[in-house]
Amino acid sequence: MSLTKKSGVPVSQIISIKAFLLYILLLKYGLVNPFSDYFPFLPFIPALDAIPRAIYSSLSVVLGVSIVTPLITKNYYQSMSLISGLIVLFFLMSSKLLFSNSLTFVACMLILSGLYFGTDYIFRIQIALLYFGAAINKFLTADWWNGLYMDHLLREVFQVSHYQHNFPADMIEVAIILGILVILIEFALGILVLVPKYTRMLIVFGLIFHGSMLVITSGRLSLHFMYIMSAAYVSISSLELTPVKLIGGNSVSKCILSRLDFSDTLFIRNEATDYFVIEKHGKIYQGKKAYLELVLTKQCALLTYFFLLLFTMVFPRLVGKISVYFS
Amino acid sequence: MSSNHFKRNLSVLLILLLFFGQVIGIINVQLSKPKFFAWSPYDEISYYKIEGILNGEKLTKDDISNRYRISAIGRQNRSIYNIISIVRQYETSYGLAEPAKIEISYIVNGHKKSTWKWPEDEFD
Repeated sequence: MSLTKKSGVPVSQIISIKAFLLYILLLKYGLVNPFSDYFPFLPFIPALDAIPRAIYSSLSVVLGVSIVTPLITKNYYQSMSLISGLIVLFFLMSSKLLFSNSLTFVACMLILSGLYFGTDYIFRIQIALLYFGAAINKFLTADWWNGLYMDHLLREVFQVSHYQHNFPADMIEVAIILGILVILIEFALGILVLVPKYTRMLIVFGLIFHGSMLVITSGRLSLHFMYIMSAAYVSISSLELTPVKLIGGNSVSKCILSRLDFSDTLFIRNEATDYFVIEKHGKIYQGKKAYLELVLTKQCALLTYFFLLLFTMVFPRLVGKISVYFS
Repeated sequence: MSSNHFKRNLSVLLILLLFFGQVIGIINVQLSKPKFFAWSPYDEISYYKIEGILNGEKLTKDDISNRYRISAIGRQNRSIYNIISIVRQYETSYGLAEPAKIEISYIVNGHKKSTWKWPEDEFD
């Protein structure tokens, strides 16, 4: 395990780690607040109640540093993700109220990233455990087989208009089929992820599965899981990105772009040129062509995808906080 | 070389512990009702309402929220037993100095309404 250099950490790992760290920083920012008196409170292990709040405050500071360090330095990915994951897991154990499946999964993936020793199979097993666990729990729950859960979820909880209008309350068969379909899909995803040659199929079906839940519920269900599973899929994707050099043009813009890049494969080269220039696949592009080629890179696509999801999750919370502040 | 070997073996051990813990969590949830660490998101939908009496006075919604740090009225997406577990743990630890009588009424997946009462720790 490399403690001081990012060399040896695959690009797919870097993207995945950054996505998880940003999830904690932007959506679970209470964890890095040392002035919060949140912990411990109703811990899963009663003995944790005896730990002084000062320890938790200190750990919050350490967590904040461990999250921000790799984002700023583009280094220390493994050590910082191990520290972040362990602290988040410790916080989870310290309060039943903090528990969520998405945060637990993020902690596990960060710990695994920190312990990574060359095989992405550890991430495959983690993803499989998630899907198998979810499938088994549903498999053993009667309301998933008799349609009651799915009907209640779509009709009453999320009031999905298409479902309410097209399928009357006594037409439970659709809900039964949907419930069984979800169970089968989760079992199938758990199996697919364990077979490397089906990785692409897994990613496509997985994104369609989580995306479908978002669409059906008009964005109210599974946005967090869409984000974290996307980051998890990247970790097993063996993604290869061609480095792109950003040359000339506005240095602030280049710096921002380089910082926002999830993959650390956008490099700045400071040369005095009149135009913005990029070097990609050994070819030089300048001016408008350079911007177009940059937009067409996988780096740009990933950046857009993850920041779009983050924005969608963060913006409503921000609006809520601002409206509470001014009311 | 032996140092790398040791680190790798330690990593493998820690990873196996992490996975084993999750398998235990998945199995355990079948034996106990609360669904924590079992990878069971949105397994059942429960609408609940917590009411209570402390020192002869009815607790307001804010009192309930301040006491348990959860909404007095809300929706639980994993298991109603998670809410019950939180209230029970509070009443058997921090709440011992000021014991309250609590009633949680809830509906799971649209079934009929049920209630749980503390300190009886019983379901109706």
